[in-house]
Amino acid sequence: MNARDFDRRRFLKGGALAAFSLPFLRILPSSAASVQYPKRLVFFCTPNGTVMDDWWNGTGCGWGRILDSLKPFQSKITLVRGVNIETAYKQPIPKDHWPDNNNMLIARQALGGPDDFSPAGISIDQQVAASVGKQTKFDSLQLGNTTGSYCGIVSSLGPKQGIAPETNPLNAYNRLFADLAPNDANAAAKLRATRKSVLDLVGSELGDLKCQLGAEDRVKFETHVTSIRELERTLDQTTAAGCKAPTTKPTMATKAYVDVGKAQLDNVAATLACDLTRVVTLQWSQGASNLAFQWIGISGSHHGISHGSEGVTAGPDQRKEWLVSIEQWYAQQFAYLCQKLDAIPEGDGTVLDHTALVWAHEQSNGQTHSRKDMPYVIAGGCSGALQMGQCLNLGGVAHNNLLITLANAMDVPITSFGDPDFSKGPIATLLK
Amino acid sequence: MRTHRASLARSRWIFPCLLPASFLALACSGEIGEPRSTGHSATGSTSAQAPGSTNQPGATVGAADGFVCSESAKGKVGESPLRRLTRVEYDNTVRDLVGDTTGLGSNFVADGVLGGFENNADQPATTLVATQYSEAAQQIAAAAVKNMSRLSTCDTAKAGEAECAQQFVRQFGKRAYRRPLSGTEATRFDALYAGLRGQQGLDYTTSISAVVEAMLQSPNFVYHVEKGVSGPGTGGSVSLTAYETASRLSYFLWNTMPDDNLFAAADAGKLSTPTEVEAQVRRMIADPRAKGAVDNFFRQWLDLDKVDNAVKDTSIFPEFTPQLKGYMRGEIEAFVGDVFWTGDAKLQTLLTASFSFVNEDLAKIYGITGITGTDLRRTELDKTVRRGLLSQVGMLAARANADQTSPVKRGKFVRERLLCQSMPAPPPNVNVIAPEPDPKLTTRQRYANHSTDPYCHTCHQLMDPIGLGFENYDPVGRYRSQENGQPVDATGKIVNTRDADGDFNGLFGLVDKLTASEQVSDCVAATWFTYALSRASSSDDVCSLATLAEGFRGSGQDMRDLLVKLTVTDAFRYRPVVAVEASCQ
Repeated sequence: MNARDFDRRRFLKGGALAAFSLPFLRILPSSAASVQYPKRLVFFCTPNGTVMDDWWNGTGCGWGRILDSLKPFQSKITLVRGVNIETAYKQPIPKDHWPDNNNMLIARQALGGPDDFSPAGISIDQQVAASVGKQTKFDSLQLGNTTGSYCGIVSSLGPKQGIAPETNPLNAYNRLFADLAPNDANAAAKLRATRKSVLDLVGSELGDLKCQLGAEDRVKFETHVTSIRELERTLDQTTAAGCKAPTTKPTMATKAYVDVGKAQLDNVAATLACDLTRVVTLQWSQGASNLAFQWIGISGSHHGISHGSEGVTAGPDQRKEWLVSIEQWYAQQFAYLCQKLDAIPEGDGTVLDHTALVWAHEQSNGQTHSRKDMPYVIAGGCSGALQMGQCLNLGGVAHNNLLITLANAMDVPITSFGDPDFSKGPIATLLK
Repeated sequence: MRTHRASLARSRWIFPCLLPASFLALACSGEIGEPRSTGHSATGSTSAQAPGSTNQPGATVGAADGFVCSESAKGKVGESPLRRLTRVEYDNTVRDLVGDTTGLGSNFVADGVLGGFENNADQPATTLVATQYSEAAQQIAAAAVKNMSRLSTCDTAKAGEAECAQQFVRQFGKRAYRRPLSGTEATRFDALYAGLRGQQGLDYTTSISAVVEAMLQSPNFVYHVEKGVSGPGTGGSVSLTAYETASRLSYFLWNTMPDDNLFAAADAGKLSTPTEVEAQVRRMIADPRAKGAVDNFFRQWLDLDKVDNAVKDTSIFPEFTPQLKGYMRGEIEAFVGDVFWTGDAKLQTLLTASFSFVNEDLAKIYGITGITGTDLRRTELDKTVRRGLLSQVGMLAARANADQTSPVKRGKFVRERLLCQSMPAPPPNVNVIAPEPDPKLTTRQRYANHSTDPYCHTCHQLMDPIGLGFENYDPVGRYRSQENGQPVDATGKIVNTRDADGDFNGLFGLVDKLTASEQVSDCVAATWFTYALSRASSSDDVCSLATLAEGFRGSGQDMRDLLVKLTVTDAFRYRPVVAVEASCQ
């Protein structure tokens, strides 16, 4: 039984109960016959590694000062250390941040190089979306904040099939929440029918042309065909009553990093609350980000500071302090999302409780481009599937296995993922 | 099947997100934490090739070695992978197709980069991309049909709606697809129209709008589709159809769709000989749209976005405001535009001109008095300290750190963009810690271990000794003769080139070497090739490149003339035969 079958059967069984469920949540029966709310998987990805001394409390497993703002959620958080991105060390070891971004959720050494990289396989979010995605209006959601189309790629449908994120929060908002309250249901239905006819024609043209292309070009077309089908599927789905868009609608003028970030976090929270999708990746800037954090008083580029090519006269202590401040700022953004999700009641818990919200980096120590002992925060526990409230030192596990564990928590019963050389199976101490 | 996209001319590009220059910029000393991984040479290079070499699989020669058209390479042209319109091309195309100037394409997922230029051949149309196409098509179509007379001359009162719709599908469709529609395609759109107007009961305008919407999402619109004429080509190559040639010309020279004149030439089959192509090219270069495409080349070749993105420590350089950055970029744009269109368009002029375009704020950096106001105007610079593009403040400021210069960044620009040799990866696990700041030392002294430590030297010798030639210019491009109380030593050295090796003194000495170098000339010709073809070159292109490079030198490095020469190369007029598998469904 493959993952897709497994989930489809569960879904079909759940469908019978859906009619009696809450307005907009499709409730699935759990094995314990208690009500089970949808599980969600969210990746919050930030660039240029962290400051290991201040992320951890010393060499043991403990909370460093970077994570101070997450303390209110300590019981709903597990810190994981001792996880290595072993695939990044496969020979030939490529250049740094870009392939590492491609590796973060894929667990395969990026393709290409030495300058031009592509993801080497499907990413874990897409693997999960392939299983659970058709239960919601959108199979998955990729958002970004000031993210480029290649160095910032974490999600991928397969080899060379990277998914660039939506970086404009207003566009995302409109797409996600557009049909909440149509003024004229008839007109809306007519419009949908027109769109379907149009997409149908586009699909036919893609089909014709596909067979007139060489093999490699045809692969690109397959992706396009799948995308058109997904658009058609989405057209058929309406957002259930009771769903609320974020209270603050982003404006066209929203360009500043801080504002885009907040708007995207609001989009994520509302999307999850409405069960519009269950799989999200949010990429902040991109690997090797040269963003200057001027709003917290740092004028040099993040990447430059991490390597000491900026802030030379300021000195190493000051540079380290800046990097800590940058990571603290990201921690505050992560905490903001925790707080938003934890404020939405769902059953006897909150949306956060039913989510695995994961903070991932492409490197641990950005200065040395280390991919050993990666810093991870997991919040929420995915409806109790993951053991929260601990600091786990796994002592050198490949990150493939962490990704397998997260998929399992989402009820996607894979036993291997990514590069088979490092894929062993789920991490028992993390699963409940 | 395409296996390598290695650019033969510009063998390996560094992409913006990697910025290894900033990473390498300082101390390359030792390592901490992790052992240097095994299996690497002392250079730390992750590939088997020597730093700065142009050798790599699929491309055995490059600008550094010269282009030699061998017997076996004759008649071949490189692979031309399928790609979508770039964002710039999309916006220009809908502007010319329906008069839409809202610039919706600029909100699309950013294009990737291939061979140093924006390109999305490796960026498949994901759900988001398809969604963005759909949303843009809806908006553009709805706006376009409000002015139906601009879209169609057919009078529904006289000819009837059905007749006008059929005409529209064929006439507008030809412009959208940049070739006449096949019978099957036209019939399909007729059916779409009939279904919406008939069964769905939409009005004429809304039904036509849906037709436009579908066409704008069609792969025949959003991709650069090329099949070539049927029949055998030489060496596995095939001529482009007249319409495909028209599109290559218009997207290269105008970054947009063909105009009526090009369509007429294609209709008449008058784009098949070099003479016919050349006549069109000369007409097109005289059109204002060519300026946009040339600007687009310089923006990417010179990486002008780097000027906008430059960050300086404002406690040291309070004058470095966003406004000043805008002027710096404006100066470079005005200068290259002037040389290209008003001047002699020669590479030599670009690298040696004594004038530039300066306003009051820029004049302060240049140390020129008597210029007031914000308008950039043509100004003679101080000939004793400024010479050509490389001495312009924007170029210098964009390749310097926030609080000090960067011989690495400046040297790397010359190595990659003027010599077409790119740098290998920084070695994995090397610890890059900046040396302790010392106000008594010069930059040269601070970078000394890049030349004394053999581990660093292997790669840095390709960049730093060139970059140190710029030491007379501070992080914002201001001239200086002293640094930290010591006189500036701006001597430098070029190694590992075909014909530019040797010691030099300062920017003037460097520019002398570069302008005398055939490698630089061939590099610039090959860079234009990559831009014109929107793909990386391969060893199969060597004969086209050899002809082009020789022609460029023969014209005294006239870039305007190079545009013409490019369009008559085999690489521009042919493509490899598309190998279609019979099993495709």
